[in-house]
Amino acid sequence: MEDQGKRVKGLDPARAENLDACIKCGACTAQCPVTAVYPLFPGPKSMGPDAERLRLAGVALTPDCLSYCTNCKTCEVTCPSGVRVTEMLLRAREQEKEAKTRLTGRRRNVRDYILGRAEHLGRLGTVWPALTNAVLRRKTTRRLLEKSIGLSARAPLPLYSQKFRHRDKSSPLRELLRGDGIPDPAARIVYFPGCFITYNDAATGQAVVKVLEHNGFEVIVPEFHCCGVPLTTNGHFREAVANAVHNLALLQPYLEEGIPVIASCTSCGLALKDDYPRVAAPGAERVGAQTYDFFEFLWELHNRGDLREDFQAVPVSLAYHAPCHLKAQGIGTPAVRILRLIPGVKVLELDAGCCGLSGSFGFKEEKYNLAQQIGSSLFSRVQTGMEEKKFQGVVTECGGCQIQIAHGSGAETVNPVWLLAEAYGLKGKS
Amino acid sequence: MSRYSVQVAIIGGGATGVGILRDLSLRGISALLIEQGDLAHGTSSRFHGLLHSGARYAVKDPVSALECAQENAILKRIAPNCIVSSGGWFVQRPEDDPGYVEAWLQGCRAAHIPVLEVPVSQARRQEPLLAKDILRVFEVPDAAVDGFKLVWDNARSARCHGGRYLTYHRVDEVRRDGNQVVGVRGKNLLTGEDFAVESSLVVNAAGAWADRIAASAGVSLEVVCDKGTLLAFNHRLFQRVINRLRSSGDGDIFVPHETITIFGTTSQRVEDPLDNQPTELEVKQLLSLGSALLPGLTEQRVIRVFAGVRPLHGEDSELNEPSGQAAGREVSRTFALIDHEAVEGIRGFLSVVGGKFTTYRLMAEKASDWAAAKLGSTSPCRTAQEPLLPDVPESLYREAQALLPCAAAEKMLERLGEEALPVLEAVRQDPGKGQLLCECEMVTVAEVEKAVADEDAHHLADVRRKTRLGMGTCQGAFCAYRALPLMWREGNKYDPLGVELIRFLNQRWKGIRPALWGEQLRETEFTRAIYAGLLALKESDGDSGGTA
Amino acid sequence: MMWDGIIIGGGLAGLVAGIRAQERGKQVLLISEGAGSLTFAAGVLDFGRMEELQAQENHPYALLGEQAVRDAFRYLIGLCPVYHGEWGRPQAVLTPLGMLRQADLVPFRLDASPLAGAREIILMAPEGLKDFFPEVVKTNLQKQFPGAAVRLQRLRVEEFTNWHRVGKPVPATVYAKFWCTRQGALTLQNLLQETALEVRSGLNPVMVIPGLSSAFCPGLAQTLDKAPWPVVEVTSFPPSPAGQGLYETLKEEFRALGGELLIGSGVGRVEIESQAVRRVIVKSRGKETAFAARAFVLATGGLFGRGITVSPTEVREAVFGLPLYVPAEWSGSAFLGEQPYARTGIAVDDRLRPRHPISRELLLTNVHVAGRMLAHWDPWLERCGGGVSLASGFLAGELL
Repeated sequence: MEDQGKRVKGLDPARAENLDACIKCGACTAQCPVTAVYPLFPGPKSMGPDAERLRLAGVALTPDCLSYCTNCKTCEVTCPSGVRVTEMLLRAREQEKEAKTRLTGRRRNVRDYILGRAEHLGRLGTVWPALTNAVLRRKTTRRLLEKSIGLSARAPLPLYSQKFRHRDKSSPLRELLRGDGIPDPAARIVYFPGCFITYNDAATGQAVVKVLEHNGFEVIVPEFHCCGVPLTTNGHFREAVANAVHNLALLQPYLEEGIPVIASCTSCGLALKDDYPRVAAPGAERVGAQTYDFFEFLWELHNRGDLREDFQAVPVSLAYHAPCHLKAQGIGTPAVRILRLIPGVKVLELDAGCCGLSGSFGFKEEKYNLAQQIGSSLFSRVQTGMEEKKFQGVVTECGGCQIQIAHGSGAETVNPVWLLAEAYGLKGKS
Repeated sequence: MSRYSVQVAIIGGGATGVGILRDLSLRGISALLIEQGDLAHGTSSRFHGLLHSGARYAVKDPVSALECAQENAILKRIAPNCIVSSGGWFVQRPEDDPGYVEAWLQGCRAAHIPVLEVPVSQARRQEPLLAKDILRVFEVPDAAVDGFKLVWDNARSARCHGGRYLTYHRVDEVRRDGNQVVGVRGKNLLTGEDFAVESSLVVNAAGAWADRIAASAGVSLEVVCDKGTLLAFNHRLFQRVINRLRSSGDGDIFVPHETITIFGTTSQRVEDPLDNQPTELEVKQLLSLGSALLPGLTEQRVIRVFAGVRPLHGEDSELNEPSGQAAGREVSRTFALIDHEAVEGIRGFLSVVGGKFTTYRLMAEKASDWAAAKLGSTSPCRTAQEPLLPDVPESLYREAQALLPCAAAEKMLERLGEEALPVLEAVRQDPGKGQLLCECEMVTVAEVEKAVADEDAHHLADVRRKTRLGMGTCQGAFCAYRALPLMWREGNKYDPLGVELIRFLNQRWKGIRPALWGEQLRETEFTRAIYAGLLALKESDGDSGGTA
Repeated sequence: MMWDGIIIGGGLAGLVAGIRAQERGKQVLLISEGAGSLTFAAGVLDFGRMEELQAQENHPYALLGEQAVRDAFRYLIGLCPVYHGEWGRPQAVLTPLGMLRQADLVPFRLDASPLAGAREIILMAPEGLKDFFPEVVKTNLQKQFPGAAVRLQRLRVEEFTNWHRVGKPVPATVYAKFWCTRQGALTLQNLLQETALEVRSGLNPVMVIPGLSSAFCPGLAQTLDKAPWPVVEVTSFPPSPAGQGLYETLKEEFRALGGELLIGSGVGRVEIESQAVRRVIVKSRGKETAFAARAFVLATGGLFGRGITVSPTEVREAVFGLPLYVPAEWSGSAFLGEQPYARTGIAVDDRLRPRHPISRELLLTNVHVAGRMLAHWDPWLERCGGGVSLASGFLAGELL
């Protein structure tokens, strides 16, 4: 005798408050980088809290309405009411997947499958990076990829580097624990490098490790899987959770010891802080509080007086771009604070919005142009600044932002850790 | 003066009145319905929106239980577009009398109401907000019914069969020639013009106003006005109707309705049918009562509060207490048909009093039987078989989905049925009309445009009842503004716009004020920022006019 | 590290306080849960009737004094020279419905005074502009300027063809962003030239253009400067280009002065020792982040900004739990009439420090309250939102 009652489950208490907080002001949609350039995406307000009330009433919207959210989380940062807009959207995407109402063709599913799993590609790519890069650079390859799976031929695909490896200088953990004294956890640290560092930018990973070691830390890097953000963004929640469970199992012994976890990729950091605590696995209850963004951690050290500040002057003016997922962490811009500690460094914050790449969004054939449009304010801001000699280059923590900004504006864009490495005199040292 | 001549004049455009109009029209009897406001503006839209399975009356009122059980099945068949068969649960809490449960089960059996016990663990899983410390849960065929829509669909169906109705026409007098009723007269409230209807029979279905109508014919009728206050929450708290399994009291029914949840009610005798202003105290009492079924109910967002006045037939009342709390609930809700010939010797005049929304069709059938007999008509009642409106074809759903992929097209189809065709055509011609005018409830410009242009729409509130515009989270903050240009185009109807806008805002305000806290208070500040700040409107603009 | 000042709240009052404090060489962190309410606002600033309001015993104007409000008025013009205004001489601006209303500080070109002498009004109607109703505006203009012929001119921009094709309305902010690009300014220039052919200059033509804000867009301003007739802009339904322009300008200024913005997370709890706030603890994702400062500004936007939360049983100041002035009668029956609840807020001393609403006792020594958190005023009835927020924000910035 029920039709609707059984189709839709009642509302979780946790979601109710979130939904009620929306007062329909529209700030999220006004700031959404996608809505501003793409008329077919109704925007975060409409597809988030507005549609949520209808979804609870069993109304299904066409899946394409949701597919243009890039998971940049600008809406959540913008919302004056604390509504988890992106989360509502992504959950709806998941529900649709479960309901098997997905209408998009097989071709893009393969592409989204691959983009959701950068690490699979990464593993292949880093086996013989030179070859992979040569192949990826060829226009024919890119055209083929565009035609076969919808990977944009113009998008700035990252090149593969020698895989990031970090050999712990210490003995493995279990041996240490077997020893007489338990080592001081404050002196050890777990580094979560993330896929971009691991497969595409090992050198930056090494720089992070060197800076931490320079500050007296022993750096531990377990064999992590991808943090899961690309999977979530492409709608593969279950696999994202599986990755989280795997990574939490690796983290768990360190978490129990109170050892901090450092992420230099702002998306990985956000996942560890925000998504992992909600996974039902040991370690979940600790991971949020024990994870630090790399610069957030350095700032904590500085606050405690534990940061080595034996900086050499680096006379340079730089523009800083705050990655969307750093903003979402709600810790401000610790990289700017740290860089300003270095004599000679001048930092100008750009504040020109999202770069447009959003992890893998800008790699997609049908979304490449959009990604460029989204980033256009940022690019022109960079170009004008460079022309007017206000700064000489761009720094930003996120690897994706780096390649997109370099691609869109032509400006050299690197991770701010390099400034630190230079100030510490670590650059070039192996 | 406008004059009309029909066989039957029906006073009152609630569910009963339109039900009679449709029934008579289907029998080929000419009828005219006269309503002082918009159809369904009164009690028929100011209730839970609950289509009773009968289980609620199983113990106290077996006749009502049986009637409800039968009508429930009939309405689900003839008006599927107005009903969401969500099912309903009766939930027993530790403090509820176990003896009542047994009596209730027995009563349900007697009324042939199917009851299924739901394991408590399953119930908790299916309804996460439900209290954890519940003892037993039973499922019955309760459903949610859209009062506006059912009334309007009856009116539309009646019109297809020759029935007519006049809205915003107030009946001032039922006219008699000796002991024979000969028609009614009154005033067109939109134009101020008088009107008169000549008819062989007059049916008084004026609900809470029925005693006044009767008095104008010189007969007495006792109607008890029983105010019931209800809360509308921002979203669906539950997916099915939730009743408290105990002898009926205040605040023990939740009905999920479209995107919201309606919760209530209270029972208080009032003197005047217009005394339907809910109070903050009632809201707080309701929230506290409802917390037994939904812990933390106080924190849930109330978007508005409203009250309906149930017209109960005084003579059937078991307890003739003068007034006071809960007195109204003891008055029977089974309806009464009063042929004033039998009582006072006045011929051709029937009053229909009491009853409940679920049994409106049955009341209409009985009243129409009376009229048919008086008129010598032998056509049988067809309302139990004939669907209100034809089914919406599947192809129309697909078409609507394709045209309005992100705009909840299926909701529009549920609202409009086949009348969605011109709306879809308008969107096809001009895709801009597919944009959402009301974003909370996802109502398109084209749909509102149609409702605004409808000959029956005279105020923004009439449009609201047909489209759900202004009934969602923002309570009109955005959509009232966006409806302006559409109303502007219908200049002669809504002019001056400023007056109409402020009237609408004040109507919404009436329902927000008794629960002015939490996020709805923020919403209110936002609304004031828009209308008083940005648009620089003043309360006085509501008297004097100005375009907006 | 100890910040010199932490400002809680990123609306007009908070940003002005932050800018002022940075100007004074202070190191300031501004924490804001989401974008402040400036993006919803029209971008014009109201100051209200000074004398009347100052006469109300507890009104913020009575507390601040006329000179402080005048100083704030001048300060904003210095900060954003695109704002024009003369103290005590409100200007007329067009509402989104084309009615005239008054405002005291107005971004250049929102000033509607050129319309007074017009004999022809050309109302531009950009195709698909969201929440803009050309016919209604035209009618209203015609009613208010009976001496002018109002002509509606539709305007179609190729860049938005895709939007029009799918019927998606173009928000004013999106149109405004386009006009702000080089290409947009060029497009508008061409449109103006085309229109010029049809306009007879003898009729004192004035052009009304909605959905842009040239004041915050130098390239566009140059283009409009070259127009052969005055151009009048229209305030927008939220979100508004001018409101957003002011918001971005203030944020940029604050950052350029070295201030740090933390937008997106609110303050979860605070640490107070002997009547002084030591640290505020932000609800970052995953954990809390503590920030210490010598002094604090509370500019969390009152009821609308969630700085004051109301439940059926309690009215609460959200950050420090400060006692509030709460009117005995909560609401009034006419929606747009007097609403006492709007006057809920914090009572303060002359240094904007919170006091007990009844005992007048000083509650926190290093917190300054600004903007909508102050008690005893109503921005909508009194039309003084800009004045109170600017003046109290400026003073708070001076006191940090």
